[in-house]
Amino acid sequence: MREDRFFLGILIGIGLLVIVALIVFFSRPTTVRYVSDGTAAGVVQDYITALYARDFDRAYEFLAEADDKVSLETFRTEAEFSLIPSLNNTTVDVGPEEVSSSGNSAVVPITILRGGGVLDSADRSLQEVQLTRQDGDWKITWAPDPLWIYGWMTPSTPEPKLTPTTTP
Amino acid sequence: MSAARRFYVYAVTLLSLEMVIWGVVGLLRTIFSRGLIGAGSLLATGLSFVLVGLPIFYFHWRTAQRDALAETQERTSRLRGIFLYGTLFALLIPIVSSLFAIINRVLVALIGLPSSAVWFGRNQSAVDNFIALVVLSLAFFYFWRVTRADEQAHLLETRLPETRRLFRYLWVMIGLTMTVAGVYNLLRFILTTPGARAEQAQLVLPNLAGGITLLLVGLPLWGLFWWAVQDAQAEPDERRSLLRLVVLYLISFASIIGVVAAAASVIQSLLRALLGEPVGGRVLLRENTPAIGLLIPLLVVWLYYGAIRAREVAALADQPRRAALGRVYFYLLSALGLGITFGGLYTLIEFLVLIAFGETQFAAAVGSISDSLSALLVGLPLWLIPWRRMQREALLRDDAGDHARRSLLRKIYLYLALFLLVIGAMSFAGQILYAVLNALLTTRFADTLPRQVTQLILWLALDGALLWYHYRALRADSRQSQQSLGQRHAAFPTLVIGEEDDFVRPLLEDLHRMAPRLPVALHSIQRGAPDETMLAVKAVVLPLELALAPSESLALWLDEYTGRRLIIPTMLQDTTLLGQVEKTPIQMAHEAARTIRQMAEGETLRQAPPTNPWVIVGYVLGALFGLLLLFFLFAMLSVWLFQ
Repeated sequence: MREDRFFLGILIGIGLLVIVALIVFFSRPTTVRYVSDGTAAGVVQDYITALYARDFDRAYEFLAEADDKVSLETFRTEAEFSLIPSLNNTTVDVGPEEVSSSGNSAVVPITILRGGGVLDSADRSLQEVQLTRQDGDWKITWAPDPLWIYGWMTPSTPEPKLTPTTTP
Repeated sequence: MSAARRFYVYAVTLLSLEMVIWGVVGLLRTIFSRGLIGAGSLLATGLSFVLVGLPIFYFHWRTAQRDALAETQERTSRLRGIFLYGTLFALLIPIVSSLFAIINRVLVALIGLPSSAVWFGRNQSAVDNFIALVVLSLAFFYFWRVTRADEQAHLLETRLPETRRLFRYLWVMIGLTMTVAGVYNLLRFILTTPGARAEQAQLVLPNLAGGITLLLVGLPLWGLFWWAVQDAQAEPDERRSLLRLVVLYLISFASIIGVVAAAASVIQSLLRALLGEPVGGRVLLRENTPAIGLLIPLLVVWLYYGAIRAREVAALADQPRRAALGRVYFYLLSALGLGITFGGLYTLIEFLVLIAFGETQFAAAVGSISDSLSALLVGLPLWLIPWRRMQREALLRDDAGDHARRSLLRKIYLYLALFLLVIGAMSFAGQILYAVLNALLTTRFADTLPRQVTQLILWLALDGALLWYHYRALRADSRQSQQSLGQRHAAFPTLVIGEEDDFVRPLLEDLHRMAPRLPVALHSIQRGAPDETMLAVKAVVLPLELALAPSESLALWLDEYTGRRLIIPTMLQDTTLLGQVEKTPIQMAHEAARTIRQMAEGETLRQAPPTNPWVIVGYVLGALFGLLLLFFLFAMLSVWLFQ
């Protein structure tokens, strides 16, 4: 057994792996950063970040104003109890396709990665978030599950004719 | 002590011990963890467990110990070994889980996660786990000392090493699974965190806590028990152990399945990106993190245990056994590879035809096409590498080739492939006919009919090609075997001494059917002893009464005869044959013919299996239930460890 160099190599490898994991842990990002650049993609990114950070008041500010817009109280409750459990097993990234905009409407593509483990492969889907410009700021009018709950507001903007551009 | 009494005493001892231990744990938890106020019913439960369990345990354990110390046979009994190592196993499981819960809870707190991130024992406290750990460890230490004392008594005929071997290998596998799960969780954390946003990095923090906990508990378990079994290789019994080979095969095979599944997942994901599906590099890496996390540790496990398995099989002195063990591994891999390859080709045909007939766009089918291509990329080498190796062996014209062609495993593999492919061919052909006839008879030609029929014809062609290939392999085996076996049979003249009765007639018929070229001569005992020319026969078959009391001339002939003798255990009055089951003359004739064929072919002689059909049904049901249970336990363990 003392001559089993492969076994010794495995033990050393595992030791190194633990050290690397600790280095990664201590150097990981700990503060939530918002993009706040005023672009449609930035607004979507900040909305996602606010939901993950449970900063529901801030997330609510990214929603467009509408007659039937959900109240802040309901938003808080539904986000906490309906969205957060799903988000715990989901990652959402803006991209990879380009943002499309037309006048006061924009569509931001996002990639949603759900689940993923040994017995189930991750389910990747490409979705879109719809935005409208209100008082010079981009606001969200619709987002896919698990960033949105049906009934938060009725999308008032007509379906835009999309052309790939990069928003300012 | 009779076996029934022994079973009763040890079973009651084990049950009452569990009652006492968990009663004490419950009592201490009530006192230290929850406080005495409002804990009346908990206290009553603990007290009643202890008060009932303790005297029963004391009485039965004292009886078992007294008998064991008084009688060597008792102390060396297999049941005592099972009890001692079974108790150690039953105690070590909750010790490990309590330790896991304590370490995990501490790490979760250190990392700053909420207590809901604890993986095990969420509804318990650290004190609860600590109490269980202490009480169980004390009991474990006591029984470990008893076991050590039995082992150090160095009694002959002791059964302890058998049970100890099983105990150690079970813990090797548990420890190894925990270690692999630990590395998997750490890799998930390491691969996901760099470059991630704070909220994404937060999601994988439980993997860090869980991974380190699994390694802190699992690695020492694996290391210590593996170290123990490796050191025990100095003992001849351990070196010859079948259990060791089974475990090495099990680990090698399970790890290669994991490697293949993980590799297929990564390849599929990369192909999707290569075939034009829009995906960012970071998402691609994150998507593949579970597969990479599994691939790396399992690849290392496969390399390590695969090398040990190959080395130990190569070191076996018995060449046919060595070759047979090698075949188990390669045929299993080949079967797995063939199944994956067929599945890959099947779905590839399905989607290529859909695209060709314009029923779907390439972009929409990228996921399915990537699935098929990844299955092919993984399945083809998995099928072809071991299969070509087995084919090369089967094409040899020497003894090794003969054994390879006649191997039961090869026959099972080929016939199973043929069976499934014939069923597939029937199904495809039936579907083609149905589609065409339905269209003709109902005169309703669906738009999708040409596509459906093309798809089915291509599937049938694929199935037929594989069927033809495997059928040819089987035919070639049969042709070569007949040729080689015919020569062996012809060189094995056999003499049957007896009369043409209910035994001899079916024996001659069976031999003619099984080995038509085998020369057989029947010599009637009425004609005295066989002549001298018969001394050249390779085997002589004679009934027991002649072997026990031969005539003078036959005794002289048998003295000179140097070939192999097959004695037929005919039932005699006042004679008992130990270990012999009563059989009809026809059954004995079948068995004798098979034995002569085995002798002629140079095979190891095997006794006939039990003929009771219920025993066989029992074996089959037992194996099925065992597999189901194993699969269920594996699924449960995987879900928990690799979350």
